[in-house]
Amino acid sequence: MYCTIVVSTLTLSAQDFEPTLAATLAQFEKDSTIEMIAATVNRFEMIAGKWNDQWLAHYYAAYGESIYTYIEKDENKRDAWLDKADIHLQQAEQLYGQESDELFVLRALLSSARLSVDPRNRWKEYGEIFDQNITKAKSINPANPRIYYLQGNSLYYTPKMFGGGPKNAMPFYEEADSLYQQMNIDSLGISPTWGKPQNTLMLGNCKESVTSE
Amino acid sequence: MKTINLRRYSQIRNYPKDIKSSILFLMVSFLCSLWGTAQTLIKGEIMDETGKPVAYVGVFIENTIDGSITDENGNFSFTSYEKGLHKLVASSVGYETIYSSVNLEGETVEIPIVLKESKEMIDEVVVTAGTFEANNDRKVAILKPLDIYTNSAAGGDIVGAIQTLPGTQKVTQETGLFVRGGDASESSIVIDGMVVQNPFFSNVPGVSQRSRFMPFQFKGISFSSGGYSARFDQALSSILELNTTDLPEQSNLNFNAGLSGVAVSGSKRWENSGVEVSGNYTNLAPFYSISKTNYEVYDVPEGGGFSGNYITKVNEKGMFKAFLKYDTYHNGITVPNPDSVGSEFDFGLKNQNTYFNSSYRYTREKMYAYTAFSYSNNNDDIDWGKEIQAGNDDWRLQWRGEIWYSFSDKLHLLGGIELQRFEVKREFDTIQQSFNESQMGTYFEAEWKPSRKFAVKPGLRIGHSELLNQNNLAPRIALALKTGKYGQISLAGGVFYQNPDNRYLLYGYRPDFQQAVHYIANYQWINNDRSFRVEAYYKQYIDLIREISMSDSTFTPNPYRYIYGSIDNSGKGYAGGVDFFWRDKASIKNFDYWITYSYIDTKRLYGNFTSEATPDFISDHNVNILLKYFIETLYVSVSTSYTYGSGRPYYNPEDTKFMHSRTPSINNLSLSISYLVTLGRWFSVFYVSVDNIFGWKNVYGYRYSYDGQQRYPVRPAIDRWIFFGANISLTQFSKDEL
Repeated sequence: MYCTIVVSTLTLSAQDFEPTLAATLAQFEKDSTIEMIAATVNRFEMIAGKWNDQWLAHYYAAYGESIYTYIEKDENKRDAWLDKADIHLQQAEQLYGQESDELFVLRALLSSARLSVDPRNRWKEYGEIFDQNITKAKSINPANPRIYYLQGNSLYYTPKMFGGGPKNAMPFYEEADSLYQQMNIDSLGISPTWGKPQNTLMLGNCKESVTSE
Repeated sequence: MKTINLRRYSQIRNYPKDIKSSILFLMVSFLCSLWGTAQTLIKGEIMDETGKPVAYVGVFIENTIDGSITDENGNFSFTSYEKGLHKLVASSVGYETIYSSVNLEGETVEIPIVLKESKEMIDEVVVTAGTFEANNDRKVAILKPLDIYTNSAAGGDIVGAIQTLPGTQKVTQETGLFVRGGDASESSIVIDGMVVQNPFFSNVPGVSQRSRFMPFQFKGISFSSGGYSARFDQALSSILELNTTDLPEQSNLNFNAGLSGVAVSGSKRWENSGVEVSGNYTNLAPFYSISKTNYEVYDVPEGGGFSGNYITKVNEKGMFKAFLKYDTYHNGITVPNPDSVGSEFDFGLKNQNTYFNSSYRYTREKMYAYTAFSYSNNNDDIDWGKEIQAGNDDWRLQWRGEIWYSFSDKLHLLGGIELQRFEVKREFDTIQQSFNESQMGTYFEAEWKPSRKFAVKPGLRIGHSELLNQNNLAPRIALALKTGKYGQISLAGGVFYQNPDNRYLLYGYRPDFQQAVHYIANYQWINNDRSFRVEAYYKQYIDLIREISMSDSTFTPNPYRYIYGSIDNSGKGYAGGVDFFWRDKASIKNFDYWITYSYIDTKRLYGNFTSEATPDFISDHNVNILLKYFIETLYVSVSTSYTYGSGRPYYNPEDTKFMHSRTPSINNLSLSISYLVTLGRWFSVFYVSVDNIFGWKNVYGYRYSYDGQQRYPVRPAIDRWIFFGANISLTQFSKDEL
């Protein structure tokens, strides 16, 4: 027992890209403290450094870095995180070599993270980039649940007076929810599947605030 | 689940009792210890330059996934099976990445690391002396365009908002922007680099007029109160630079109704292009019905206009914009007669104004090319005292072409050419006056940034005036030095030329250019949402125009006076002062305030002045306090502003010294409230503004009768005004796409 554990972690850590990434992704879902998230994001970055030719390695580095900006408080640092994420996303796009709904979705995620750094002054510029990428993603694969999850988030955090708020966001979360239900998890568990638990949580929040109105 | 775990746990704990297990255990321990010697423990502490531990730094062996992050105390430790010489990477956002060589031989490696703050975290130096910029493109800015739109003292007028910045004087009896001792003619307003010949509604004697432009038409506003770039000239004091918005964000429809009329606008957005159109009908009858005026308005201002804007991207790298605006209106007001103090006369005006501007910008990696063309036409039909027909007819054509090239991150060069041709025609009864002018300017400006902390911007402009048959050479320089993370010092200076005032050119005089030399020193400190700025300046006026035939006894403070005799460039003057600005929007949530104070000492000998004196539009001390609070729960925004100006000089024939008398101080307290609400799919704003809430009777000067026995106060057209209205807009919704 003991030995196999050691051996398996050893081979795992030293050799294979896919199981390593899968384990890191599983860890990311479980992370509950800032320190844990920071450690996992660091691991995504290490994976992208080691398996430099894998588009998914860069994809997840960019994903992890943009998620981290929601924890970081310093505005300058948030932008610096997103600068790193931009580079990883560009590398992912180059390696993938063709248009992909997931890459457009990730670009939309990055632009909404940029917007959140300074919403009052950035909503126009980054709101536009967000919309463009959402549209492109939708044209490739309208069944991608992350499109609607991100649109839901975008509306949820838009002040109600500008047409946002939970009530307006809810249909998007509902759409995302039904698509997440139909989603098949591939055997390796490394192609993008993120967003489901968060979407469920946000949908719950929406329902709660709509009923309390 | 729990029980199973416990059972496993107990099995492991009891291993020595089981022989088989114990043998296995020994083997495993042996094997593991073999591996154990093969792995190296790497640990250490990471601190910043001040010795403070840095948490969450990623530490790893390069190109492997052996690594970890530092804890709260800056400590890290991890193991690696790698062998030999490797690079240990310590990387954290906000710091420079450190690479250390480590030899992995199984011996524990202990390595302390000191991180240096990344240069990117210290914002790059920006040359700022003389300029207030409201721009979204830059992270560090004292103002954002939104601050200009929501300024309660502005009354929706872009120049009104600028007049709350230090260094400006709010003048009620004359139209224009008065900056640092300069009169209205010394400021120039440019849109996308092109001079606007008639930026304000046409002049009414003794009553200042607002600008023709609304703040939200512009994405960037840059107000230079001196030391401006070599891209511009023909302004002794100031340039207000406005840059139009790029592609509209999305299609929308907008309605506005208020005491001054109604307006409709809409925009349509395609992927790479957009169109914006608007139309308005203006009628100030409701406005005048509730605000008492000091002068009788016998023909209430009424008019209309439209504007169109087309923007398109050309092949990703190019951006083409075209903007057309047309307005017409008429009004009639009984104002003090400038030619006969103590009496009033009827002044009727019918105005038509056309403005067209188009530009094309081509951007590549290390360069951009910009070219723009503009045409404007303004026509005033004036009924002067119901007896005399008067009028103005002006047009202007302008072209600019420029290229910016970046040799490296440290050196950029800008060069350009500007051509202008304009005509100004005046008609007063049987007198007809006009002139035609062609101007050419060539300019170069370099920006050299040897480090992120230091920048120098030298510039040179060569100008030519066909009318004066004169050339000028205007060197400019600006530099900036970062003094710390948040502070910087800037210096600027230069020589600025301007044609004599139109009134002299219309009379056929052809003197030389007027000249000003600026010296500016500025210190600025910006830390997130708090900013402080202090700027000291000295401006020397040379070659101002003097009407030399005027003797002491004939001075008249009448801008409409008849000019006769000879004039020359023997006028001179100076302006020196300090401007302070403090803004804080960080201390209290949703609360933003700013305080400005300016002190000015200025005197000049020009026009028909009989000796050197401070002009009548100058308050030596100016204070401006602006408070804004957003009540989040109610979606209500409240903004109030207080302005103070010390007493202004006026001409009193009894004075022994010229222009020695001073008015009482000038005070104003304004308030505006807006309420934001969504009605169905319509986003609405309801707003109400009150200027000079307490109705303080401000006096800006006095005019004396010819015998000097009677005096009449110079007062604003309205002491207190109230304005309210609503704006509703419908923005395209993606909800329908579901």
